[in-house]
Amino acid sequence: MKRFFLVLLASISLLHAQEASPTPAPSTTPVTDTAAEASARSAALELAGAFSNDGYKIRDGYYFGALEPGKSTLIEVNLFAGNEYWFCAAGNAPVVSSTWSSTVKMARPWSSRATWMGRRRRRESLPTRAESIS
Amino acid sequence: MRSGLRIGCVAAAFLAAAPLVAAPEQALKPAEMKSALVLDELSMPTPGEFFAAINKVERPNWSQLGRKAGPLATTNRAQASLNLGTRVADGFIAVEAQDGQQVKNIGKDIIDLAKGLGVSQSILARGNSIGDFAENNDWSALKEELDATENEVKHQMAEQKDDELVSLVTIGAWLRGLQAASTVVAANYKPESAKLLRQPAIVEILVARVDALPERLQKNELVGQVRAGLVEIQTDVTTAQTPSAETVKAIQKTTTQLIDAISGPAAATPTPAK
Repeated sequence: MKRFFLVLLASISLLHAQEASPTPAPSTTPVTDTAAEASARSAALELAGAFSNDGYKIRDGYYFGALEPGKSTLIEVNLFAGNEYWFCAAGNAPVVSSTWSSTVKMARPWSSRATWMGRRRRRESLPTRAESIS
Repeated sequence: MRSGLRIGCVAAAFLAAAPLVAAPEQALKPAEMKSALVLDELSMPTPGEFFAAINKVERPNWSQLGRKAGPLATTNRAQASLNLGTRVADGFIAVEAQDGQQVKNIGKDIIDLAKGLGVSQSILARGNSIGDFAENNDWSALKEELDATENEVKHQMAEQKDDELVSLVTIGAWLRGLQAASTVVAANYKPESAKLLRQPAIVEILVARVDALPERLQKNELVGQVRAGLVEIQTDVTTAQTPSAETVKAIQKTTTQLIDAISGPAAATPTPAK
């Protein structure tokens, strides 16, 4: 059976979270949005690129934004059941991610692990079965 | 075996916090769903994704779904933008059909349409890449290249303050994809594949995009026709979880009329695969 996979790419910067930290990382040059965006996108692309060898296709789009601690950002995505999707996110601090369908939370939620630039990278997937999507 | 094949609208939530924070158990509230960001490149599926899902329940003869391009030259920028979108979707169909020459022809059409819209500069290289990948039968790379080409056109449109045309490219691509898919399903009706045509969240987004266009564009006859067609499709896909055979035919008829209006009478409509 032919398998077709897609990767949804999202890169996220956590500038606000960093600024709110009591012990911000020392930096000699200010981190601009442009630099942070390029850096986050590059890391997310690098992560997504690892899936290409397995036949995944990258949806050519990304989101970049500064997240505030404790406040979530929701992005609507339309997916086809039967296809398998991975979301890739990268930021300069841990990111917690979850997915919901329009009516109910996914049967097997995207677990809350982080893709954390410069420290460790973990890959998290959307459930391959999509019965709960409506 | 997979079941419940249909399109799903989901929201991905990103939260800046320590790892392993418990996620809420209940579904998102309507107000929360409304607050979700809708981003053209991220929220909308590509025609390639649509066709991949169709391929899992059908074995369409994609070469029968190709069409000849209608006249590309027009002073109507709305029509050119919609047509550009339809040609991107045609590119995905040609890739599914593994028709390298057709992919190259479509790549040239996309460049020509982009030139007419004044956004050709940076996508010329994309046109060359499409030609090269088609020459080498690199179908996998072509899917990503077509997606990237569409997005590059949209980026340039946005840069030159033609944001409103971006939505029309998206609509053109989606309509042509839906036309091809509904043609496949109408020719060999199966509930599993019919469910894939049911995309209420996407139609809702597209109707809202048309409603957000500047007044002068909304008065454009073709844009008005497209809006009316989208509303018809919206009605068709919101009434039942599984579109009936009649509904599929209605979607096919509506999308075919719109594609003919966008691409001109010279463009051949696809022949249903028997």
